[in-house]
Amino acid sequence: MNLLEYQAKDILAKAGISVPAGIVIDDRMDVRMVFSYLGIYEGVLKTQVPAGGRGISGGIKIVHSAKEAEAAAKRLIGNRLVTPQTGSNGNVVRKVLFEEMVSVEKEYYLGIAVDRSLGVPVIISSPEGGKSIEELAKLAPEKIYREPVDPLKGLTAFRAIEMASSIGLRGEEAQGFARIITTLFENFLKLDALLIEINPLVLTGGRFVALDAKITIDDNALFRHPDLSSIREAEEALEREVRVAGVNYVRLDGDVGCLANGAGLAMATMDMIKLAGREPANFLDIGGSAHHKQVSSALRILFSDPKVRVVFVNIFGGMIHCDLIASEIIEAVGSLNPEFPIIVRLEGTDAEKGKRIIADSGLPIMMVADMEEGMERIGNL
Amino acid sequence: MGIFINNYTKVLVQGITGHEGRLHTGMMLEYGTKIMAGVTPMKGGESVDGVPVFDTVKEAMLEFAIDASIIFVPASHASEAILEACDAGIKLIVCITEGVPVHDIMKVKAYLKKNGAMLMGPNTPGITVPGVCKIGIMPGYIFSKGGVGVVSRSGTLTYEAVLQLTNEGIGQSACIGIGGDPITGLTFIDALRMFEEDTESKAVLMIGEIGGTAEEEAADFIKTMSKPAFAYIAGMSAPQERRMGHAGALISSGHGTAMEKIERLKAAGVTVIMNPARIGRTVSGIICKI
Repeated sequence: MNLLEYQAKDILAKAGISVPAGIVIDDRMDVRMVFSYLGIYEGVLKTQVPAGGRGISGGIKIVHSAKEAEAAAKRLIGNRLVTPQTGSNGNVVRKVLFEEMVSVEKEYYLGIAVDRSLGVPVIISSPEGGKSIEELAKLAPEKIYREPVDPLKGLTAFRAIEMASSIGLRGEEAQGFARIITTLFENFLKLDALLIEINPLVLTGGRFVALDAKITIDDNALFRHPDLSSIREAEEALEREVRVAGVNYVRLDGDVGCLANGAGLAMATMDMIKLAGREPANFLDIGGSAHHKQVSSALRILFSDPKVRVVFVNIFGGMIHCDLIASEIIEAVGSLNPEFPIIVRLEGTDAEKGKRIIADSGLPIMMVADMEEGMERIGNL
Repeated sequence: MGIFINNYTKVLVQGITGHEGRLHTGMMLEYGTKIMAGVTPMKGGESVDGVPVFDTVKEAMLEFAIDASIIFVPASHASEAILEACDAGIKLIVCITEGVPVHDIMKVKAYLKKNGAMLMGPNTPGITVPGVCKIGIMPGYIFSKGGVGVVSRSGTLTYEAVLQLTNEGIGQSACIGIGGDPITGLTFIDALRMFEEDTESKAVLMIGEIGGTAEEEAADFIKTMSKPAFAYIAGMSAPQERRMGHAGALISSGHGTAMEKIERLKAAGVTVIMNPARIGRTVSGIICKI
């Protein structure tokens, strides 16, 4: 789960890290009233969406007057923001953060992430903040400092000081930076974070201020953070349906709907559709041990996508039984009456039973023996 | 003989009295796996398919010399179960559980390394040595005995690949799931190294997917191997910044794409299979020529 910028900044502020003064304006507020109450019109308006690339996509506006501020806020709130990270539909902007301008002497980068290869947390710092870390890695990789931390030993105070001095800080500034590293690392552990990033962390008048912040929490650890689950932002209807159903679904731009059990097989099914000369309409993984409800919800989500022109169901039953899948397909086809062709491949546990159920139903469902045949059928449609 | 496990491997099932624990204990016994005991706290004294249940791993170890443990414990307690097995002296721990927090695994992985134990998973279908032993949840019927070592990050896609091999008359020396999470104990390289040293393995098939750099690191290792290597990478058609089911399958900031991985593997001399429907056929076409 990606926290929104203002939520991440709230966490940092509570931990004692300075952030700019700001206020969140949401779609239920009267923008004019808010500004006239504040009496401040100079600052920066930042859309609050859980995706990066806001700056280059028009999601961040600097304003200087009442007229500018109101017009910009009204234009941003309620509209969709499309960034390189959101997909072509973008995200609805429900909130903007209005912040004071901070004069910048120097910009730094500070982040803590999970190093997948080493299997440990890694603290990343650089004296060249402001750009994305990927961009920085291309431009000046020698200015990125990566410090892995032993999960059993934790972070020691002297290493934080060492890191501050390696990016060129001295004296009180070095101490200030080291303190932020320590605080950030404590929160990284406490929150079960996969990423905490302050970029830029700016030096202004001898102190550090976090101008932007990003926190990603491990979804698998949310069970021990009920407080964080409650700050989950309003979801779109489809997102909610997917989450409640307990399936993994990502909507794409093509017209071949597909469903598989298991993430790898679901991706391979998409790849296969592409090789057949078509585009997948979605990624849909019902999981390894799906029950009735998950399967029927998944089929409903699939059948109600208006883009879909053909559906391919690719099941390799391990823990999941093919007869269960077959019954759910018949149920869904019978009740939703989709007007497009449906191709089904059943292999593994109780596959024969499943095939018989579909054959006996008399419904126009095309059975294929394997992925290869499924691919041919899709290519010929 | 045998990769990690053999005819004599004595196995413990942690979480044996749960739904999945029971189900797969039965299926592993059917496959011929030597399951000596199970553990579920507070259920000591019961039995599952004739397998005695103990309250703790330590108690089970007093009765039997256990070599490996398989874990079906819920995600919130899985890391404790792994540590319990490690402290009791078990050297191979297979964690089937999906959804274990990453921070737990970072600690567990470091601890096991220090104590000389091996973790397979989490979120793995386990390991099967065809006709010999199965510690995991892979369907037994898909396998046939032979010379291809299979290692994979996924579950059902692995079954798909193995069945395609079997249908082409190509048997497997062993099939290892490393798990679909961002951080796993055993890595591709660990498995590939075993296959390189194993006399029964004549070739290797790696099933990877988008996200992270495990496949790139494996490519560098494959360069040093003497045996022919095949690979399929799932997610050619996956978009950026969207998690594709597995917690680890995410293209982030343009990194971890299938194309990057495929290029590296090709450069390392690996035969990269582009069509997941033709994994078996491609391997058999080349192996039969050798």
